[in-house]
Amino acid sequence: MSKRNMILTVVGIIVLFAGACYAQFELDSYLRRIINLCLIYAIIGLSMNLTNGFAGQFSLGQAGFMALGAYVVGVFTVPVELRSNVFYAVPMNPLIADIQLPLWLALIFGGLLAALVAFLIGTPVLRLRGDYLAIATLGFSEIIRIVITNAQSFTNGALGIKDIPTINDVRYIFLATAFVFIFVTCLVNSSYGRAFKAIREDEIAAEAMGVGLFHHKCMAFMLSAFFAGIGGGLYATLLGTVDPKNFLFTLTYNFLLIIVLGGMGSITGSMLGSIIVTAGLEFLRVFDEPLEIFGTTIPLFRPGFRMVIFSLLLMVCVLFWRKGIMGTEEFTWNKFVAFCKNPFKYFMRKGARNNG
Amino acid sequence: MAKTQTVLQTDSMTMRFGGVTAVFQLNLDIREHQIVALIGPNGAGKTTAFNMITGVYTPTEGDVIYTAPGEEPVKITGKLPSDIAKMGIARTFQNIRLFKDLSVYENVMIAKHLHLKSNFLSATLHLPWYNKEQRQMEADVEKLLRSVDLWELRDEKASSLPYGKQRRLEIVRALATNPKILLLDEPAAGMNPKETEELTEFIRQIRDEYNLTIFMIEHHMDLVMEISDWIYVLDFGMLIAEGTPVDIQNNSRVIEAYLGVDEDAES
Repeated sequence: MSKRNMILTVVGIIVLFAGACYAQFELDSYLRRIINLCLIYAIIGLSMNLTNGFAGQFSLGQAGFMALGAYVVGVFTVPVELRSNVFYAVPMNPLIADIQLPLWLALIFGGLLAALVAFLIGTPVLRLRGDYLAIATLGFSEIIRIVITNAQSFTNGALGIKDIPTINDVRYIFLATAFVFIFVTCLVNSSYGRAFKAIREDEIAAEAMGVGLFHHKCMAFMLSAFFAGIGGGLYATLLGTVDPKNFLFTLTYNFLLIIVLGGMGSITGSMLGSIIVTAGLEFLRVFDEPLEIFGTTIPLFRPGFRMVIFSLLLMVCVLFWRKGIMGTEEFTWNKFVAFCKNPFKYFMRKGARNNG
Repeated sequence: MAKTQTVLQTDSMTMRFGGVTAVFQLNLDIREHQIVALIGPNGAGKTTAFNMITGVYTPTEGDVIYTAPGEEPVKITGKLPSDIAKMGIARTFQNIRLFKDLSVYENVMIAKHLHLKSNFLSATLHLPWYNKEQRQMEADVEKLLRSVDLWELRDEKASSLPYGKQRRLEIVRALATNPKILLLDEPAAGMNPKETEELTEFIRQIRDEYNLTIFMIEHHMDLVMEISDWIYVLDFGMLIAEGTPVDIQNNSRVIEAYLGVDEDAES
């Protein structure tokens, strides 16, 4: 990265952080919540993009890894004195009943646990390809959820955990997202990132060029689980409660949607995708409320209508940008500068490149 | 012909797929700095032999023995393809297998990954020792691409190159792994006579420049006869002849395998 781009990146992050501070102090808690959700979904979207977009392994286990992170945060950050209140049906297992961790430590442990489980799952499963891998990971994510539901003395089972100290603080979550973003960007631009892409493009050729398939796939899978765990932990602190039903496999599809819409194999695409999907779903709520113009009620406007609009928007997106909004391209400062200097010329050249 | 050291040897290597014996008791002996060709009619088991040497298949019987220059012979039978590549055996494919959506530059950079010593964390954090390795890789790739006239095309997508250049890029990518032996699976397939001639020159050039041993499967007899030091002929999985190009051209079993037997003449 050239010096100019480095400075621009640092400036960009500072400006965004200032924006986060502004949001924290000036916006109401509803808007802050949406911003936080965008940021958390961006973390998980990025993590999923690492396996699905960069290493090309179609995995659908994200909800399970999120659940692990969320539950580690849930179980270990609830204040000890409130625990008898939370675990009212079955008392908490004495092994962990007195252990309380600060949030940041619980987040890291949650990520590590998810990575460990990913390793155990990955060892047999990563030998599969394509659809088979997707089915196997989907199944494992359900297994994780069911184990959580039944390990009642650790997780309070189907009752879920409440009274998790919440942070609805944009600044911290922004910093976490920025960290994950920078980490993934650096990883993808390193030699290991190139090896991931090689596996995505052609496994047989990658292996013949000395890229150890299992080693690299497992690495991508574990890192992905680690960040999903952290994202899940943040999700738990945002909601203040966790419940096994939060982590149904349908949750995974939200992230699949984010990365497909943003572009499989594009980091900035995942960020964009998470903003569009999360904020889009919220701001389309106007369609859910009955609308009256000049005394007549417009039909269609009723709860659930926003999903119809949203689905239509998605179809339009997929029709016109088959590889997602960004494809495998990235937003780069070079392009940005070229665009600022001469927008017209930028698009002309882009068009010429696409045709050629 | 002066006897040099053996680098790759197969010891009655056999491959069976269910009831079909694709390769039967193949003994090859490939010597340093030579260009060795493996020829034979379609379906003779040539690519299967390649796949066994490079670890894609594990031979049902027999062994593959590799001797790196100045080292002891090692059995590489059944090792992973990626480990075999690390030991110094690189290959190309019959139907070009480039990383299509990546640039020419990235394609070659990936081949340098196997010699990377830094772990993923130091690579991600771009720590000084990783940066040093990265700069070395960049310098090597630049030198390599310049020497084969692909430097100007470095930012092109691999799939957008013309066919002949794609073939060349695949060979260059294999070269970037710093191999001792280069296995070329039909490098001249689909090339016109002029491109074939260029390729002949190119193969010679890289053999001398990088001190390689080259083992190739090829159907273009002009190419094979011109550059091979030694030729093995395979038919229905069996070795039917071996020798210098002149020997092979006059070998009746080879002619028989390629053209069939003239029954009238025999009777």
